[in-house]
Amino acid sequence: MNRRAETTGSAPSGSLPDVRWGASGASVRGASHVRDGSPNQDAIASWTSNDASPRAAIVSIADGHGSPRHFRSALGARFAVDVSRDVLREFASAFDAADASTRARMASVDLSLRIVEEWTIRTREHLQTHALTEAELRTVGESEGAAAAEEVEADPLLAYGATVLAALVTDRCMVLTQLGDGDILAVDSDGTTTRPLPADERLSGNLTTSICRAGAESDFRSVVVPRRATQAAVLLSTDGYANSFKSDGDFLQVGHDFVTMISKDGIASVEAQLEAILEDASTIGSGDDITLGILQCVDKRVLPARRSSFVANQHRSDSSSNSAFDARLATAEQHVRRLRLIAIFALAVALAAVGWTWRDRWPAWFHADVPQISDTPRIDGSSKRGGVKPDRKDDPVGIIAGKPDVKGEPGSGLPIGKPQVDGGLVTAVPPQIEDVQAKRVAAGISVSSMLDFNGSVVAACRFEATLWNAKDQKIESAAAVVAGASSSTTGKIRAEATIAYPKDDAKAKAMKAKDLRLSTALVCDDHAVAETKRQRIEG
Amino acid sequence: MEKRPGGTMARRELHFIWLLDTSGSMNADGKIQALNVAIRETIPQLQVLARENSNVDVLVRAIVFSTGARWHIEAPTPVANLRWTDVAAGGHTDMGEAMQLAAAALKTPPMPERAVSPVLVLVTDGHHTDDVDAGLAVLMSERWGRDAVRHAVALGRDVSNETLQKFIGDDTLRPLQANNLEALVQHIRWASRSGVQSASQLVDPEQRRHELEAQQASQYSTHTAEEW
Repeated sequence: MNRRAETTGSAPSGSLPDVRWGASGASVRGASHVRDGSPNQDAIASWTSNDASPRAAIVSIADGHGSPRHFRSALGARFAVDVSRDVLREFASAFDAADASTRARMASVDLSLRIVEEWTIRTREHLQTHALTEAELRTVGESEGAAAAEEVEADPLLAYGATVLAALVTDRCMVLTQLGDGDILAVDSDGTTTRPLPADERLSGNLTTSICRAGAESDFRSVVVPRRATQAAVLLSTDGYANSFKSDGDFLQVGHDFVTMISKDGIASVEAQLEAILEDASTIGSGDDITLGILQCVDKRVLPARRSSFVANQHRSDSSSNSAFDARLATAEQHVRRLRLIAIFALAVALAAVGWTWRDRWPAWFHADVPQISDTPRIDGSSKRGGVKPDRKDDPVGIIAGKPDVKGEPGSGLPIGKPQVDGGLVTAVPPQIEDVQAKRVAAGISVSSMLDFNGSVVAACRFEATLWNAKDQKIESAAAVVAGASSSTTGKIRAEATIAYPKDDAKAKAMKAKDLRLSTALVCDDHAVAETKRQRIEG
Repeated sequence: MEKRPGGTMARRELHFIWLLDTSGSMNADGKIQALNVAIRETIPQLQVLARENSNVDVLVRAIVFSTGARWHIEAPTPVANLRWTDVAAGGHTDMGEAMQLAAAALKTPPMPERAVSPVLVLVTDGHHTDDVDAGLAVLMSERWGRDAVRHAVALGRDVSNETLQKFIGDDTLRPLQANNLEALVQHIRWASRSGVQSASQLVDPEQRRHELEAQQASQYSTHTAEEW
């Protein structure tokens, strides 16, 4: 599930820049849920205001509990995101207009009370038309005992248990509220990422607070943050996302990375990748359902947009004064880019000149006659119909930049870390890419590969396929998680990825050209451990 | 996808520690042999469970306690690579020291910040001979000690159930009573499996309580073995 909305409208008065916010997000079924056939129990909802004042963007997410007694938790999560979005929408004007103390009271008391109240009403309405069945209660009894079944029968709201996290951004404030586990991150335009909400000691181990429990309104954590010009995004995620990272620091880095991606490629590009990003995280990490809600600033003075058609389109809808400002800004940016290119070129020329002048002082190994290879290996792919064949040019893209080729069997992938060079022989250590096949299908180019592991220490591997044109320009790429690669993987694993024809006609046409070339790579723990040279696709 | 947002991704670790009584009294009535058999029979079951639960890395360690406590398996060992070397009995029952040893292992670091709850399975046949309350206090002072799923198996009728109840830390979860070889094997297998399932959220606390009651109620009759 993928959703997006955004605010529009005229500029508010005040010292803050004319900032608009959009709401995006996605929710994916956990890898373990796919394996055991259970549904995605997360939910997401969003809303943005088209009114002039106050402008507002809202996103809410929820995580339905997984245990048998919460057998309607997916519905409970859906109700939770809907009512929290609606309540925040109703409160948006009041929050925007209120003074600091009133805002604090509204956030800590009124908001949570209304969310729980509305959720209870919505859930009871559902129960009126969909009473708990004997079969449902029997299932609870079988797995958790008669007492648990009786408890649910006495309090049917338990069946709908879920967490809920919601955020509202108006012209003057941010309101963040959370019940249960999950994370809300505030990200500044320089990537600084913080958790504005206090930690909840009750969320240790596998326990979480829940909207289905009596007195849930007092379990909410809420905060109101005054608006600042540097605020760039708010990320809300269910616990399956943070649990996919090795450390909290690794998780917090998503704040910086998402803001960078939005700034560089635009929110539309991020959205297009979001489900794949979350599925990847669930597969490599927690195995749980993962939902990520994003409130992002769409003003380029906060998140400067480059190559972003989405932001560019919004930019055109600005008022004339803003257009003039932006035109000046765009001109200035062009100048800066030009100067940067000139500086890089001059530096490269200077370095090359110095290097050549001092060539006699180069280390001895640089002149040695033994094969020298880079850390990234290559293979010679087989030449089969419908497959890939070696490029006739001699390593035109410099995967083994200027170094002798590694002689040996096709598929001589090289080791993680430094390869061992002994008397001119390279000891090839797996994992390797054994074989690559590619064929055109209706939807794109399907690439399959046989990966050979031999007990190498790898934890998280993905298979990447990339298409290049004759000018060595990257056209399109696709990646797939290598299911089954683990810390003790031995044997061959088949990996497949499909590089879809893009909607862009020109790109799709380029992908059907004769001179198209394909490279593949095996990336483990974020390090490329084996990759093929670019080879032409047959057929 | 050109770059995956965030830092290093990893499956969460599940640290599983057996705390095994190897005091002199375990020599009586073949208890120590039974304990070794029980652990050996439990390992394949844990390996299957770990394979099925591929989003968690199950890492196993073992502490033995008699006069003092020491690591029998010190390095957190992936369950797939786990091989059991028999333990021998002799000495006192310094259970408190075993808890302190476990507490030291559950500090962060060396424990990762992110992990699923650890699992501690305590097996004993008698009264402790050291300050077990002090040992338990040290264990409970560690976040991962408090968060651990803790099971206890009592061998024979001479065990201080009060101590085991404190270790479990939940009055609704009673120690498992094993009065013969068959019961010991079944209870250790169940406690180990249930611990892993609970910690990795394959079962929730209510399910665990319900299953524990069923396990306690199950009668491993004495038609094949004499009662301890």
